[in-house]
Amino acid sequence: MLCQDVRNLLPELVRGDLNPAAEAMLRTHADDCRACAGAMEREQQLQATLKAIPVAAMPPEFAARALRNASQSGRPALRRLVDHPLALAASIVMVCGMTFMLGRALTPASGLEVVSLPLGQTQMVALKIDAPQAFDHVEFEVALPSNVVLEGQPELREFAWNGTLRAGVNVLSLPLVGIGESGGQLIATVTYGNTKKSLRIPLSVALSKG
Amino acid sequence: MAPHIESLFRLACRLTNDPLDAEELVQEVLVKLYPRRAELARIEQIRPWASRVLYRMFIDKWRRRRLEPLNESELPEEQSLDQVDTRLSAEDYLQLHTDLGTVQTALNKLSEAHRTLILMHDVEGYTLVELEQVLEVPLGTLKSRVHRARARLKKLLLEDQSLAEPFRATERVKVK
Repeated sequence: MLCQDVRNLLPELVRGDLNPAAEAMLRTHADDCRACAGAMEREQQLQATLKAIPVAAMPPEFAARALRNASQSGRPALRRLVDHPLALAASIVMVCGMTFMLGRALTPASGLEVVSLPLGQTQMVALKIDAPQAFDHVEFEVALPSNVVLEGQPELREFAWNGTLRAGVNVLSLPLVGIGESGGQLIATVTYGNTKKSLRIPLSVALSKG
Repeated sequence: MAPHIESLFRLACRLTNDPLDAEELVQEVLVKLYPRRAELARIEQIRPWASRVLYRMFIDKWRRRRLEPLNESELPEEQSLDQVDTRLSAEDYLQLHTDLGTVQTALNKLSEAHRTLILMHDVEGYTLVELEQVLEVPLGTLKSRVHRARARLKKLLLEDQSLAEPFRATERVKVK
């Protein structure tokens, strides 16, 4: 075996990637060849150095946080929109005229008008949430009637996620698609600590007249 | 996925060279994979599979952000490397600098394609079979690329005696 052939295979030898026969052949050669033995030692040093190149340690809480975020990512549109001020919600066609307070003094939800959804078309339905102050760790839950789905998420009937409310008007925008002509109720629930507030929004799906 | 997050984080750190970017990259991978967790449960070798997703995401998004070339064949230095002798003599081997600082500096001088190969194969310990899946490159091509990447690294460790010099020649001050 030529010395050059041996040196070409040194990285694989040091890594342990060679088959036993080839490894034995190279080691036998190195036993009798000082130059190749020295090269093998250098290769070992180089690979040990490469293995020792430091890398940042993963923050201890990162895995749990990343998995939690991933588990809530099925509703990215919701998460992005939930805290947006009303002024930013330019694509929202209709805003439910219902405002309720979250906190000790809750404004009861009443007098909601029926929201009409065109069959088979996406309709943005926005829910205004007026908060007297900012709240962290707020849980949002939405349950859809059987004849309405969330655009792009037809399998989601009920979904929940955590977020925040900023002081003032917050908007929860839902891209809804009516898939069956009938009525139903969308139930939106906001929970903060022991305070829980639900809104029942009557929906009606009908063929678009246009 | 939980047992593989640290491995993905390490790979992301190697690729982005920034732990915060690495967190962001891994988060995006998990967001992408989470809906496919049922499919993941049926996969025997999750590490190369998930690493491929991470690597593709890095290429598609992060590399584009930096506008750096990756395709080995696009790189003039790689083309010229094919033309030169990548063999090292025994004397060359003995003169290789192998201290950590010099090796890191040389690694950073490699093309992104070669650095990625060295980082994944020699630093993080991905096998060639795993890399075949991660990088979606045939095994034979991969072997020759790894060989060239190592040769290039060694040439840098050998020929550039100033690798450990923290200042460029023009910045050095001669003291009489």
